[in-house]
This record gives sequence, structure tokens and C-alpha cells, in this order.
Amino acid sequence: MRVKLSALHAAIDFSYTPEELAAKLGDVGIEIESMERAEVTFRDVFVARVVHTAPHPTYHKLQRVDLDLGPRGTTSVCTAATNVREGDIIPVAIPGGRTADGIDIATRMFGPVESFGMLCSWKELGLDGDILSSEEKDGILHLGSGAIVGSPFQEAWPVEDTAFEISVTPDRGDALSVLGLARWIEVLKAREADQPFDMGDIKLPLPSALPHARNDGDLTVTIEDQSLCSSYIGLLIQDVASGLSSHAFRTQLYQLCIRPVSRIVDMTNLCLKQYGQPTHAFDYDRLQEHRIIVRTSLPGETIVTLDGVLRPLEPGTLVIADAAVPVAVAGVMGGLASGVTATTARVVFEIAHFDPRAVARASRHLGIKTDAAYLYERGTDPGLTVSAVPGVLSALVREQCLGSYVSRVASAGIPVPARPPLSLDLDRVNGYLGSDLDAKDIQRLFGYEGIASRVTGTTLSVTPPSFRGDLTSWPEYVEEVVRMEGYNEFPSHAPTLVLRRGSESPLKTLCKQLRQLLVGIGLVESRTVSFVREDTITAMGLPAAPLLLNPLTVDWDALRPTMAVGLAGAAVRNLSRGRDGFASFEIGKTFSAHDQSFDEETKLGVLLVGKWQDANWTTPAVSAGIFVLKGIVESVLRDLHVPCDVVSSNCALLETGASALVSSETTTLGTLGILRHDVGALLGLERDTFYAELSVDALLKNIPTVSFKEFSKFPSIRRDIAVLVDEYVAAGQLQAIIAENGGPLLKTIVVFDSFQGGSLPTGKKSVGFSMEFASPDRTLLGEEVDVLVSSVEDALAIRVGGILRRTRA
Amino acid sequence: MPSTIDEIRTALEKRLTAARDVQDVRNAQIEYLGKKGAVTTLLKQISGVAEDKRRQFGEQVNALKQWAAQAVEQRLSDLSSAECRYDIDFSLPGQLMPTGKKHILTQVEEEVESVFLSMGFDIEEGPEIEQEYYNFEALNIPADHPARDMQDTFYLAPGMLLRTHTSPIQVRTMKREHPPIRMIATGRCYRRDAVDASHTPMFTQVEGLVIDKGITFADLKGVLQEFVGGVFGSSISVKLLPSFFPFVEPGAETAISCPICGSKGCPTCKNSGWIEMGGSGMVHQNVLREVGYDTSIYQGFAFGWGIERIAMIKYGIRDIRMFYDNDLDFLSQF
Ligand SMILES: [Zn+2]
Repeated sequence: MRVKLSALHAAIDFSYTPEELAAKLGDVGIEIESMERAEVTFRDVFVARVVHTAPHPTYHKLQRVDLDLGPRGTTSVCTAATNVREGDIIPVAIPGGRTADGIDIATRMFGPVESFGMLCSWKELGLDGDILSSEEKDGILHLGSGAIVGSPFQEAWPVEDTAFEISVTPDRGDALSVLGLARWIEVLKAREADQPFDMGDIKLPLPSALPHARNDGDLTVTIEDQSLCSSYIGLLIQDVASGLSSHAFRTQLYQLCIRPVSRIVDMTNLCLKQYGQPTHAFDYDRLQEHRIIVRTSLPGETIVTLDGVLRPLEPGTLVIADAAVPVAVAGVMGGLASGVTATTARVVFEIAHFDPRAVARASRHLGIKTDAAYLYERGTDPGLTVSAVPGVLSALVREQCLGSYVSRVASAGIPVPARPPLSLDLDRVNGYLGSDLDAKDIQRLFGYEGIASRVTGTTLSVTPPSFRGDLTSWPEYVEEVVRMEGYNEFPSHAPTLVLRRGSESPLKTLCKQLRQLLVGIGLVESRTVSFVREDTITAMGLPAAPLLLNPLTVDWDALRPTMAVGLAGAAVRNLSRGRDGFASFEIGKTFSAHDQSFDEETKLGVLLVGKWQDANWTTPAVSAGIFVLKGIVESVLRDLHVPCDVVSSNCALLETGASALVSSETTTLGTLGILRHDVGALLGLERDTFYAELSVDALLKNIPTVSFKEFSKFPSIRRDIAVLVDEYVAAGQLQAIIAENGGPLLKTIVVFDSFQGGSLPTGKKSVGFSMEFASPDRTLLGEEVDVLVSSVEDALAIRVGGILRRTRA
Repeated sequence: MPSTIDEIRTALEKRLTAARDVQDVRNAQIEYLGKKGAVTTLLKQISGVAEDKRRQFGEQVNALKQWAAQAVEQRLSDLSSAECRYDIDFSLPGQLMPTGKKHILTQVEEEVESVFLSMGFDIEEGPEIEQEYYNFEALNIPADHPARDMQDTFYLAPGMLLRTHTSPIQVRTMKREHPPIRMIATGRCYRRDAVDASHTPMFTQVEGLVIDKGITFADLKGVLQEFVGGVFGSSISVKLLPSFFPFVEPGAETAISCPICGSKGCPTCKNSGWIEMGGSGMVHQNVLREVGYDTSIYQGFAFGWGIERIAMIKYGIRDIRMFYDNDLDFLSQF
């Protein structure tokens, strides 16, 4: 909400600077988001009346305007503005003056005609364009009747002021008006002076009786369900005259930051901004049988709202109806048919209190957000303002000569019954806050806010003022105790808690271990957004990802089923900035959709592209490759004591022949391989990209418990062999044969070499194995190991036709 | 510079004894035996000496030159044979080890978690795709309540949404377990906010909850103070301001004294000396009733802070988008 300091000063006396006010209101929970000071930056601008206009003798785009400056005499200027007529009251900057946008004014010749100044638009005056009407922003600014001719412009218009942008939490609806803010300023003053809250300090008119009516018009008001509308007042005004708001009213609107629309709308807006009470104006002659019925809508009913849209009403929507049809959606928006027009002669003003939930429901269902609905949803005052605003409106009608008189006041649900008191237990309050207040303290604190209370022993009977709709249960009163005592003055205390260790889930622990291991290997952890583009996922050949019903952008319309998209994005970003490699991982949730349900799975994605290790003067650069990736996966699993198999298999996202399934015993853990080139291109990666994705959830189920195993304390013996086999024989198969035939003393087998070509026959490859033999209870003899190696060699020869190439001792 | 034969001999002896490396000896060699060296200067003087003394002087100077050359060689060989077996150029770079890094958000998250683990808090988790009930209704945010506007929500299906805060984990934990409850939850949350320097539609939250007999508002402040001390250092203090969150009453916005300027006032704290970090308050009666707790026995507090915000304040990061750009120039800084 935007309001100016002058409007607050008009409502209550206070001597805080704008900065102090912002800080003090902040301390009680009303946030001043921003403050903007407007100064008079023009010089020698006066209010003038246009006496005569005539076309310029030679320049056909100009006219000569003779001005009356009251006690300052007369003058004349040339202007290109087209909205200047005889009788208009307008601002003029005279020679020697200066405009807000820095133009120095001097006497100037336009052909044969001398011009003694410049007529001003809002821009030359530095006015706040956001709260001017479109007419006021179009050409020269016009002042309404009542502006004093000859006076300096800054006396006629409240230029110098401070505008506050106020933001309140949903429970602070009572602060969404000048009256509401004035009440909170009164609370601040009361607290500082240690005096009870006094509504009498509020300077805004607050008539307590309904306005006097001539009772010569016919209007009835009926409320069908008082739980949805506690009170409703219809104010019938006859002989409505059209015309502009007076100058004084106009400047008041400026201080309230209300953009003027028309006399009637301006009045309703003033009630909303100043009192926090939405009001609405109906054209009386368009209300069937001159009846107002507050009821819920019936099946099939529709309404064309003021914005011209035909809207079907959900049955049960709270509406205002005449004898035949709904004429307004209660608290949200009026109907077009019953709205006031330029020809309206008789007006009915609505002042009512609607149920916040009913208004909220209608506003959301119809998708209409209005200032009135915003206020109603946050709770308006069912008491004071409903009874005071009719009086305020009727006074405005009189002042603004809008109509001849108040013809009739028709009401239902008036007076509003007072809310019953609530009982508050002192021990409960202290036990909740960790405080040591006595009943008198609390009574005093409540007194600052105008909450009436009666003390009986250790119990307080509390009654809230009608504008504090947020006070309905004891914890809310406890909050007021803290608010008045001061949130920050409140003691801090370390709780006495039972000694207990904190714990985390095994999944969380595993994720931490994985991160630690991968970082140790040299990978950087990425965190990428969970959103992906559905089209991308489809083009990647993955099953449908969960779709958002209301995505922010089409690029983020689905949830990621894979880490590949995010990691590829991170890679592209870094490569495009000139890096020659990117090696990263991410651990997080991935998502999948199944009919009506959704699944989440924690996954690890590892992506390598370009250089894996930079060149150094001691070592050449190492490029990322499939065996770097496989090594990373194997190392991590080894450190977690998870046995693993990596078997060639066609997997999603990966190139055929360069794609493998990672599993542990019978559980599939994930995949690794070279990212499909078309997928890479889709994600912006043109180079070979190595990608692994493991399910952390699956991995978790396969983490074994580690226990000590006896190890050999005797020296081991190593034997290397190299076998020449057909190129299609997998190294893993050879290793399996060696393991099977090496006997129980064979401790480790390492592939130290694998190559083709060169001196080797075509279609053959050589694979070198290093075998380590050890016994747990004795030193092995070379001869017995030789026997074992021979049986391995024989098995290799028989099973795969392996030819022994050379042996190293 | 010494000029007589004896002076030169004494000075060079001292100089060579003091020399700690080869370069030092070489410098001495130049100073004494170089073209402008002290010994060379004496040699040049021989021809100018009176005839009667010339021969003797010449012999003495030549002996000095011989001695000096030998002393230098001796010292050089001593240095290289004894202590100085190596002559390594340490200006060459070392072979750097892998430069892996945890993401800065992970680092902050783990730091926060370890502070709470040390205070005996459990770390709970929950789904990111959440039921409307857990995200809103159970937290006293009924449909048609303006508080729903505070958290613009992504929906996947009617009643299914992306959690807007980690608070549903509170509800799930309370429904599963009986008091005493002492937990935090960290995780991704989603709100339909357009992207700018301080908003991303996805962010990370840490949520805390303590429920037991006699847990008070004063305790909330005490625990937050410990938390802030653990993450930002014990010189940073906590301040509560009135605010509204539907699942707490009384509700408070939590601010910390600005670690960037030491509370003196800077652009980050808008010259107030305080920085707002997140919400907190006493758990609302409706929430406790919803999970089936007896509100006449149990009460407690909850709080929710943004991990990104903690990281931004702690490290002076001004743009929240950087966390998700994964630029190595950014990630490698922490
Ligand atoms: Zn600061």
C-alpha cells in the first residue's frame, strides 16, 4: 500500500521523522518497504487562470494564452499545448523560474509575439505520475475549482511529501488504511507515554451515527445468511450531478495516492484507502424493484462484471442481487449493468462487511483481484467503519455537491454485536513465553493496543477492539504481549533438553560419503535446477517426465528424470567460457510419472568432457575417456565396499557399443558410457561426453557391513603373463578364467596392458595380467606358484585359445 | 672494500666461510677475482710500484691470487659435496592434486547440519513432490487464505504440488513420532517466482522444529542464537521482529546483526545493521492439533531459513542465480 506522510499527519498528530516512523512501525510488524521523498525542485511556478486564447499569428501550431495571476497581475505566454481553454486553472512558470526537469524560464520571442513564461505539465512540476489521471498526464495540468489563482504552485498542490510503500502480512488487514496506520501510530505513542490507547487522538472524522435521511426514496436491504455478511448499509443519493472533484478533494486524493477516476469512484476509493472500508456504487434506477438482497448464487447464474466479462458463477458464490439477478460479486467486483454511468441520476452506495473466506473464494474462483477483495480477504472492521463510513460518505456527497441529499439509509445487520470476551490464563502466557509477567503487566501492555481486559486472580478476561479481527485465540493474545513488550527486548534462553544424539538417515550419510569420495577424485559438485523442458526429454528418448500444470516458462515445464540435462548445461556454460574440460557430478532427486502418481529417486550423475587432467611440466594432459569414467565409478564403489560389474548393454542416452550397465550382484545400480551424439548435440555438447548415472537409493541397499578379514603376514609372489587372443574375447572373460584356475592362493589380478596392432597378427589382441599369490600362514615357494601359473596358462589355452606371449618374473 | 693483501685475505676467508650456497661463493669469486675484483686491482697495481719493492710485491700478490682461486674452488666443492647434494629450482610448479569441490550450498548445508547434529537434532527428509495437505492444510494454510498468496505454487496435478517450503517435513515427522521432537530438515523448495538477482523458482531451505513440554518462545531465541553462532561466529547476534506465518503464533522474522559491516550499516543491510534471515515462531495450536498432539501438554517452536541466503550473507554473494550457474570460476572460490 502506498500512502504519503501528509495523509498520516492529517489523521493523527505525531512528531516522528519518516525514518523513525518506518523503524517504529517495523518493530510492531508493519514493514515500510521503501520511502521516497519528493521535494519542490521547480521555482516560480504559479497558479493562473486562462483569460483568453488566440491562435498565434504566424505559427499555426501555437496559440497565445492570456493569463490572470491574481494579485500578481496578468501575463501572456505562447504554447503548443492543445488542452488550454478560457477559464482553465493551470500552472505557469514565469521568467526567472525553473522547471523540475531543469529548464530555465526566460522571456522568449515566437515570431512577433513575446512569451512570458511556460505552461506546465506534470513532468515540469515533478509530480508523481503513477497517481495522476490520464487526463492530468495529457498536456497541461488542470487544477480543479478552488485552487487559488496567483498562489505559488507548491501551496496549491502537496508536492513536498514522503511517500511510503507499506507491506503488511496477511493478518495485518487492520493496517491497510490511513485509519489503521493512524491507530498503530497511536499504539506507538501510547506505549511510549505508558498511557492507554485513545481513539480520541484520531483526527479523521468517525461519525458514530448513521447519516440523517429524508426517507423519500424506496430501497430495501435483505441479508439471507448473516454468517457470510454480518452487516450491509445502502445509502441512496438523489439528483446526482456529474463533474470534476474539487481541487481540495483532488489534492487529498494525491496525498492518499489514489488516482482520480470520477467523482463517485473517487469517493469510494477514498473510503477504501482512508478507512479500509471497501464501498461500491450502484445505479439505483437499474436495481430491479429497488431491492438489494445479499445471497449466494443459484445454479446457472452468471454476471457481466464491470470489466465487461461474462462470468458464470459457481453456485454458492456470495453475491449482491436485486429482485431478479446478481448485480455484484460481493466484495470482489460490481456488475456492468448496475454500474454508474455518466447519465446516472440516483446512486446507491454499498457499505458492508463480508466474510473474508467467501470473498477470497469468489475472487480466486473468478480470477479477479481487486483492492476491495484484497482488503475483505484480510478482514475488515465489522464495527466502527461500517457505521462510520456512511456518515463520511454523506458528508463527502454534501461537500462535493454530488447529489442533493441522502434520500434513504437502508440497512441490515446493524448494530453489529460485540465479540464475547476471551479468558487468558497468566501461567499459560508465561509458560508459553518463558517470561515472568504479572497480570497487571499484561493488562498494561494490552491497554496500549486498545484491548480491554479485566483481571480476576491470575486470569484476564480480554475483549478485542472490533478492528482487530486477528485476535481470536489465546496464542494471538500472547503475540500481542510480545509485540508490546518488544520482540527484541524479550529474553533469550537455552532450552533444557534431554541428552540425545542427533541422527541422520543412512541415505543422507551415503550422499555425504559419495560427495567426499568424488571430490577427492577431483570432480566438482554442481547443483542444477530440477526443471527441464519436456520437449528435450522426449527428444532424448526418455519416458515422460512429470509435467508442471503452471510452469514459469516453457523451458522449465517438467521435472528432471535424469541428471544429464543439468550437468550438460553446466558443462556447456563452462566450455563456452574457454575452459577445455569439465568434470562434475550432482547428487539429488530425479522424478518420474506413473499414471496419477509420481516417484522420486535420489541419483548420482557424473559427467566428463574434454580435458580430465591439465598438462604439467612433469606430466602430459589426460583427456577424459570411458576408462577414466569407469575408473571413477569403480573407485567410488570400491571405497564403499560395493562389489560391482560393468557389463556392455544398450542403455538410454548412451551410444551403442559404448554403453554399459553397472550392477552389484543382482541389483542394477545404473549406467555408464558415451553420451549419444544426438543427445549431446541437443544439449549443446558437440564433443564426446562421458556420462554415468547411478541410483543412490539402489546403492544404499547394497552397502555391506565391513568387518575385519585376516590377511597374510607373509611375502607375496607376483607373476605377469600376457596372452594373445582373438580380439573379440573380453578381458573380463580372461580374468574370470584366471580367477577360477589360480587357486585359493591367488590374491589379486590386475590388467596391466591391453593392445592390438603393431607386431600382432590381424584380428588378435594382447592382454597382460599381473597376478599376486600369497598364503595366510607361510612363505610361498616359487615352484608352487609356477605350478599355479601353469594351470592358469593351460586353462587360458584350452578355453579361449590363448597363446602365452611372454612371462616376467 | 679491503685493499691490502692481508686485509683481502682475511675478508675473503670470512666471506667464504659465511657462504651458504654456490651462488654466494660465485658472487664472492666475482668480487675478488673478477675484472674489477679486489685481487685483480692489486695485480694491476704491480707495474706502478717502485722498482725496489716491485718484485716482492708482485710475488705476494700472485700468491694471494693463487690462494684465493684455490679457496673459492675448495669452498665450492665443499658445498656441493657435503650438505648440497641438490640444486632444485623451486620456482617450478608442483604437481597439483585433484581440485574437486563440494558445491558451496552443500558446504553451507553440511555446516548447518553439523551445528544442529551437535545439539542433538535429528535430520529429517521428505518428498519434493508433496501433497497439498502436508504443504498447506496441515500447516494451517487453508484454501482461500491470503497466506497462500505468499507462496506461489507449482502444481503437478490437483492436490499435488512442488513443496513451497520444508515445513511439510515437520508435519510428517510429528505424525510419525511422539514428542519430544528435535529435528531439522534441509532440502529443495519451489516457488513460482520469476528469476532475478534475489529470486530463483528453486531454493534450499533449512527447517527446524522442537516440541516438548515447556518449550518457550525464549528457547526459540536461545536456539537460534546457538545456530547463528555456529554458522556465522559467536559475535553475531539474533533479533526477532513481529511477522506472520500461518503455522506459527506468535510469529517472528529473524534478523542477525550484519556480519558484512559489523552492524555499522552497509548496502546489504540497507544501513540498518540487521539482515532478515527467515521466519520463526511458536508452532500454531491448529498444527499441533492436526497431528494429534495434546496442546495442553506439548508446545514448541519452528523456524525456516534459506540456505542460499545464509551463503550469500556469509560470503558476500550478491546474485542468487550464481548458485545454479555452476561456473567453475564461482564454485572453485569456496
Ligand atoms: Zn551491513
